[in-house]
Amino acid sequence: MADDIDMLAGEYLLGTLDQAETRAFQRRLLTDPAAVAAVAMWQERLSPLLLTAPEAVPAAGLWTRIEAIEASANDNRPLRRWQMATAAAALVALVSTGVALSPRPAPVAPVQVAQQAPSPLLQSVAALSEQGSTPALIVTYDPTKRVMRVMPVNVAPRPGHSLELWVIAGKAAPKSIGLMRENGATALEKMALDMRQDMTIAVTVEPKGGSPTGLATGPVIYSGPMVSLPTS
Amino acid sequence: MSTEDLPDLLLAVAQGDRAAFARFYQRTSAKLFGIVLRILPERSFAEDAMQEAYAKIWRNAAGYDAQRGSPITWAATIARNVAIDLRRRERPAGRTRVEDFDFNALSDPSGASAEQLAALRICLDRLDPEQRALILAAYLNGESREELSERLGHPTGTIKSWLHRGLARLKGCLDG
Repeated sequence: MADDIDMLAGEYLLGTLDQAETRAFQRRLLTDPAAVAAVAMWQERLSPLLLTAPEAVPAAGLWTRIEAIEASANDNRPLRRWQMATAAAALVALVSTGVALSPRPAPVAPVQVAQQAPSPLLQSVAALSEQGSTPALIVTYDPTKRVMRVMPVNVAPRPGHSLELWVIAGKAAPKSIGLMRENGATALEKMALDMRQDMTIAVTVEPKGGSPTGLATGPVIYSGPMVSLPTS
Repeated sequence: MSTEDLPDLLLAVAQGDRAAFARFYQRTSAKLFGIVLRILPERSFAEDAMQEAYAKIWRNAAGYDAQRGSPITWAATIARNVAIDLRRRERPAGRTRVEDFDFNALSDPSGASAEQLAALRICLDRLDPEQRALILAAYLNGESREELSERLGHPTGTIKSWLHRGLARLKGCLDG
C-alpha cells in the first residue's frame, strides 16, 4: 500500500486532509517510519515551490517584536538535540518534516481539550511504555505555548490510586509535574521545560491525590525519553 | 556582512549569537514574509505568524540539518507551517489571495539543485491545469479541502480525487 501512504502523506503535507484524517495520520506518524519518510519525501519535492513567493518587506517594527521574544527565550546551544535524543529514543518514529496543521492528537477525550485552540507544530514528544512495549501514553510538549499534553493510548486503570507524572531532567531528581486525569487527555499549562537537557517523563502509581511527600513513592509504570522534533 | 553564507549564519544562531540572528532576519525576512502573506493576506495575521516563525527559527536553529535542504528552504517551511496553523486556527474568512504562480521565481541558489528545480517545473507543467492549480493553492495559499471546494464549486470528494491524481502524477514524474 505504498501508494496509499504516499497519497495520504502528500495530502497531509498540502494540508488538505480534514481534521479527523489529520489526527489519524498524526497518530500513524508516531509509529510508522514509512509514513514519516513519505511526508519527508513530499516535503523535499515541494519545498522549492515556497521560494516562488514574491518578496515583501515587513514593517520595521516586526524585528523589534521578534527581538524582544528572542531576548527572553534563548535555549540554544551548539549541539544536535535531535540527534542526541534519537540515540536515546527507541520508541518513537519521528516526524521529520514541518508537519504543522493543527495537530491535536487527543483522540481519547476530545471533549476535555475542546476549549483549547489547536496547538501548532508539536515540538517534543515522548511515547511512554512499559519497558519498550506498545506505547501507553503519548506526551507532547509545545515550548512556544509551554503546554504539555498527555494522551493515554493504552493505560490500565488503577482504581483508588492516582497516576502522577514526573519529569527527570538530566541527572536531576524526578520533579512532579501533575496528576493524570482519571480518563482522557490531560493538558498541563505553563510548563517551562529546559529542552537542552535530556528529559525523561515517567508515570508512577501514587495514593489518591498524588504523592504525599513530593517524591515518587509508588512504582514507575511507564517512562520514556522526550524527543525534540525538528521543524523541517 | 552580506557575503556571509546563510548556513554559517544559522550555525551562529544555533550558538545563541543574536547579531547573527539579526542578520539572518535581514537576509530572509522579505522572502518569508512573502510566503506568509500568500497564506495570511491580512498583515496583522501575517506579522503574528512571522513573529512565531522567527521565534521557532531562533530556538530550533540547532536542529537545522544541512543535508535536508538549504537554510532558506528550512526557514520557509517553518514560516509556511506556522502561517497555515494560524490560518486554520483563526479562520480569517474569505481573503484568499489567488495569485499567478511565477515559475521564474523558482530558484534557490543555496539549496535545491538546478536539476531538481527543472524537474519540478517540467513535472508541474505536465499536470492538468486544474490539478496543478489545486496543489499550488493548497501548498502555497494554505487553502483547505473545504475552502477549495467552496471556491471552485465542486464537492470535497471531487477535490480530493483531483488532488490524488495530481499528486500521483507529480510523484510519478519526479521520481521516475
